[in-house]
Amino acid sequence: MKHHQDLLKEACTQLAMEEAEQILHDLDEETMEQADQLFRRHRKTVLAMLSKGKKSAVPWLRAVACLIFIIGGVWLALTHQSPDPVPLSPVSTASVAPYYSPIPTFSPIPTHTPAPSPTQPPIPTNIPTSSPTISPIPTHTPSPVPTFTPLPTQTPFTSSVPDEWGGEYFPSIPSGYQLSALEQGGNMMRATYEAKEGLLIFEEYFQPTTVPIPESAQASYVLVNEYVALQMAVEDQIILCWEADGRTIILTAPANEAMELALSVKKLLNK
Amino acid sequence: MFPLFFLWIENDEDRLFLESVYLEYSRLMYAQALKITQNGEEAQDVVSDSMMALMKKIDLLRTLPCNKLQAYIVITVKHTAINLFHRKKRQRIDEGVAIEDLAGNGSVDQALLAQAGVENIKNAIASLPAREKEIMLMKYFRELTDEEIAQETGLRAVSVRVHLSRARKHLSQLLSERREWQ
Repeated sequence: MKHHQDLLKEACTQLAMEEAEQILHDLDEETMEQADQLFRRHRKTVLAMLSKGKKSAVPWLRAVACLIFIIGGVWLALTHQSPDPVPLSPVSTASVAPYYSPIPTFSPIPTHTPAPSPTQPPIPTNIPTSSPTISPIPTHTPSPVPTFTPLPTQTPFTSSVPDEWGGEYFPSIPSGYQLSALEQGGNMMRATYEAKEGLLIFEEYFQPTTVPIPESAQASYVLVNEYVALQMAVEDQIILCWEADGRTIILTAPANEAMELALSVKKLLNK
Repeated sequence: MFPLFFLWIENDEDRLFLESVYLEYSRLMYAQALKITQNGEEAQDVVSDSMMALMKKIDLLRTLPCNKLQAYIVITVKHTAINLFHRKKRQRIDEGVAIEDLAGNGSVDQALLAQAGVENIKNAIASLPAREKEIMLMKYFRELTDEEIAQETGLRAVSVRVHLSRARKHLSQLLSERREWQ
């Protein structure tokens, strides 16, 4: 019976995969463009639905867990109470002994005793010999004057940003990449880096721009920081583009480094 | 206490997983939904419903390799769109389905299946009437229970079983007719 089910499953899987391939093959560019528009209109609703749908299943569990934590914490506090090393009220000397060294009694100034002969080793003693003037009132020892330490401020992200860069965003360039060109157009800047891994091109358009999708590209959407980015895989290169504050960012990089580079793109604070 | 934490983590992971599935396959989902419905609003409904359907099968989705996952999503969107179409047009296809159809278990002869092999079974399923083929795919590819199929299609659970029974019977007939593979 199991074998019979397996055969049906396998046949249905093969059929479904062939059918899916055919469906994908039949999708034309116009429909895909309309789909992109629909996605932009509808994505917030779906993402909110996913978030709500999954969270709604457990709010009571969260409440129960919190309650268990509170009860557990109280129980632990009550049952595993460690002895207080500093009792508030005076207790018998015996009980204090393990925690306190006896308070030195005030003694008169010791008389000078001659130094021992060099052949005799000094007898170690616990009584401090260098404290002849213990005063009952503790002298005020000034604590060190606190030095003012300024709070750490957000350091502007400027590492590896070319001086001539006129854009507001820039990625963190990995070592090994050499700046080979820096171009400025009417409403865009482009920095091109070269390394043995391949080319890295970072472009910033100062206004929203339409990005053409190469015919051979495999396109999908990914999250880059808080932005939804269009990801296009063309051979061994990845192109990622997204819109941030009314600007279009386009990053072209080797496939294995593209996402890391995209995530490193930061707004330049000194701009 | 710890299992609760695991549940939370798993839940957030599930959400992230579904988000990534949505972001990665949204283009295909909307395009396919548009192609079937020819209507932007309806396509959005189809994608929303498909995501809900995928959410219920998240444990299965996690185990699927990339190409199979894509096929699963595409087929889910197709089924959702067709079911929406049926619901909107009030085409209750279970009308006229007689309970007596369940008489005779409608199971496929095991020996026949084993002899036919996957390729012939696949071709036979492909030539089943559209609704029976869809329900077979829902059952054996998407691994939905009869109740889940009923919920998705708007049929009664008993009707789903009737359709499955009929589909298996047709499959047996088709395989018997095509004995040339023997």
